[in-house]
Amino acid sequence: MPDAYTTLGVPPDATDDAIRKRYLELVKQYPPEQQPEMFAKIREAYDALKDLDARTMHRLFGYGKSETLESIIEEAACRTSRRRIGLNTLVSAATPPR
Amino acid sequence: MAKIIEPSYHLPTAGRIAAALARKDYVEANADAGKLVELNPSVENHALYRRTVSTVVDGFMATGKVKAVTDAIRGVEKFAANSPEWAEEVAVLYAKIGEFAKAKQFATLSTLPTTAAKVGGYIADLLVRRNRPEPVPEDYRVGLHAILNAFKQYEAGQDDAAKATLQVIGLQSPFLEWKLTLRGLMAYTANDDARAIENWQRLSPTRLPAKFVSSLHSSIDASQRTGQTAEDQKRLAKASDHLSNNPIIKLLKELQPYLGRDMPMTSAWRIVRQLYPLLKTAHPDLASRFAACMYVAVINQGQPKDAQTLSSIFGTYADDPHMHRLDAMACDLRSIDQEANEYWLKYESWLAGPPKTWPDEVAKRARAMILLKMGTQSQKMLENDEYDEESDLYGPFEQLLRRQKKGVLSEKTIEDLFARSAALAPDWAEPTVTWVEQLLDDEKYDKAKSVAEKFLERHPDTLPLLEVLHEMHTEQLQLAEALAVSKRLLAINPLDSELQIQLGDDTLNLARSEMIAGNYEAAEAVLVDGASILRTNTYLRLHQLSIESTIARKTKRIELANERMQNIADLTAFKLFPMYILAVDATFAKLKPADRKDADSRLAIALADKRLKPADLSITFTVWSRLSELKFEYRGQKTHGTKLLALIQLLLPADGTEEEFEQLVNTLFQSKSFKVAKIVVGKLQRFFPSNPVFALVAAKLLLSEKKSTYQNQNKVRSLLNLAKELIRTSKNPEHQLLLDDVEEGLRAVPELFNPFEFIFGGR
Repeated sequence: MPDAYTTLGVPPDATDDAIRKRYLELVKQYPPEQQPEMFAKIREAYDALKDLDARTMHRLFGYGKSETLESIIEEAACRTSRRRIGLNTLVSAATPPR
Repeated sequence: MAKIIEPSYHLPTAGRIAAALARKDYVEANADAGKLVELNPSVENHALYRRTVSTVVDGFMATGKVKAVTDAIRGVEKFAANSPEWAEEVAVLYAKIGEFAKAKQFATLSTLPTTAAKVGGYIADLLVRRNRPEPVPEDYRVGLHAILNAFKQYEAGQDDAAKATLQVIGLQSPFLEWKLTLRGLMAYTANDDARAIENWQRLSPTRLPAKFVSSLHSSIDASQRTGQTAEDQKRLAKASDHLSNNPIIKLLKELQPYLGRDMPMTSAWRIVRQLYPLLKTAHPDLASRFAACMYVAVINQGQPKDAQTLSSIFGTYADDPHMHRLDAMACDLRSIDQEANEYWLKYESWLAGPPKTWPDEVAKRARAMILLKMGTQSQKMLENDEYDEESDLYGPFEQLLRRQKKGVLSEKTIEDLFARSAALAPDWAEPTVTWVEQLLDDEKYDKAKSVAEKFLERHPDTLPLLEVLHEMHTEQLQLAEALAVSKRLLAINPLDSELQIQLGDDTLNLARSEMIAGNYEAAEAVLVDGASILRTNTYLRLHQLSIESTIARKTKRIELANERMQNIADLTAFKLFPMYILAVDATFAKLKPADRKDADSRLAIALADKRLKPADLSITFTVWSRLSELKFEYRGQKTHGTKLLALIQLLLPADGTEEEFEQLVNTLFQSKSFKVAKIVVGKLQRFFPSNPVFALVAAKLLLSEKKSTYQNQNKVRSLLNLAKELIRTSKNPEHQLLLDDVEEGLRAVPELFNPFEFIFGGR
């Protein structure tokens, strides 16, 4: 999962008010009843940044902890344009080595 | 009729055939299936033979054994004349090996409606697989030409042209599945997984198109993966990676098995070194996420040298340029507390800079958090060093855990850490609360009070701080101050029932102390002031009535005293508890012997009763202990305690409910009456064998004996395991709350190595 700042799209020096404003904008854009997964990510990011304590705790002790290799693989796979797989490739992939 | 020509243990069976196929012994599988049909030509055995010969032919083809293929097919041709199923099967087999004329010939023998399409499909599969325009049966030319052209157009990125080319393939075409395959591939390339799945789901699993795209299909369709074995999933995932041929994803996947495990990072670094430059070029933002991921990996599984490797690959981490935080976190994780503190201190110094990228208020709060963390950590270590065998038996498991650690830093240093933390974050309650607690532990009451009040001036509603102050006043027997703090607490949270009881208790404590001091008017005024709270709870009300009755008798208002006595009798069915507080209050108020005679004799009668309820004894014993704690002392207090414990020992399990006894044993344990608790718990365990509370208290009692022998610790563990099992099966939700305590106990009491068992073997 991307860092909370990236998810909310706010700079690291954003204030409580700026973070809340951005959170409300995103909630309007991704309402929980229509996009529950996206909303959950936004909410989690907001909880990590919503006040000075949460923000500091996140930056001090939480760096990298929400990252997993799986999420990076998933993201990389989504962004990479898929290769066109020709007939010969399919044939050779399906033919077991003798 | 079946002929028996061999002993039964030589007979082929379906299981034997399956086993032969599994070990790819196609000759034996084929022979057994044929023999089975010969011995018992049932419908089922024929069906089994057809399935077997199909697999056998595929197997032989895969290994290039052409003669074996034709022999196997010829061996079953004889069935085709009399069985449409066999005619279809033989036709399909000839289609698979490219003998199209024979395939068509046998297809004509079948009367099944599916045969023509099926055989046509297999012919189409082989033609596409050959991927050349000639020689091709006339009726397949147009279809094959369209599929091969469409593939070329798709490979050249001309998807629209490919779609147009595929238009000639109709629903009845033997090439329909190839059309679906290609449409799926086009959707897959465009990242339209839903459409790709929609097309590929329609493919027949036994045909070539489904086999060609199975790995890609599996990579995007979770429902497709569900039905596969782990081995197949792994094989398909590998095949899909091979087909997609993306070096970044390939390396990321290669890295996966080396992370998240307790293993050296050497192999991981080899992959990371190749991967990071690629990721940085293709997806810079993912590269920074990857850097964060590896930072955490080093904390979790790295060695000191891995921090250097991390820097050499990823460069300087903006928030941790000297890797002090990484070192501190790694030490924290491994419970190397002293070193962790040293690294945290270095990191805090760096933050004091402050670094440009840290807003001032965030940097200050971060420093406060670090100092608080260091202080708390050191405090725990110091407590372990100063562990007093006789102190604080409320949490024996916790103590045992503490004893297993080492100490560092002096009280003064710890206090400084909290003070610095509080100074850096003057509006954050946590460091101040912890600091005040530390001051109280060090018996610096005046300073504690001044620090707390200073913070409360700015933030009067800080509950945790008020709670600490309340505890301090109560322990110091500053009852008026404790009552005042309770009022402040309840004003903040008026619906909190525990706070209501606390306020009631404080009111009674102050009123009773005023009575003891002979300030009867003041005592009554305190009770009047707290009347609304005291009315809400029977326990509080009984105390109130007892004090009021005693003061009235002392001040010669006999009618009021009697009225209050009557109120008490009306309010409770307990025999002992009201008599006990009345007699004790009479002693506190120094009533004349004649005035207290009645109360004394009623208490004597109650104490002589051998059939008291456990709840009555439990609440009386709680009051007795509480009075001792608050230094409300009277002559005969020790005798009362002894008598109460004697009565508790006489209780039989049938005298009360399980809940009443649970409360009683907890009271006994908390008041450190271990000897009596042990006797009572022993009886209760036998009577209520499925109750986890008694097993848990029995474990705690054994532990409080502090015998670190193998037998003792083993008994504690088995009692804890029993409690855990009983909690699991209990339907009482209150019991579920005990699980943390049990788990803490199991962590604290390690399984000991038994040398006798090792030498002589377990018995």
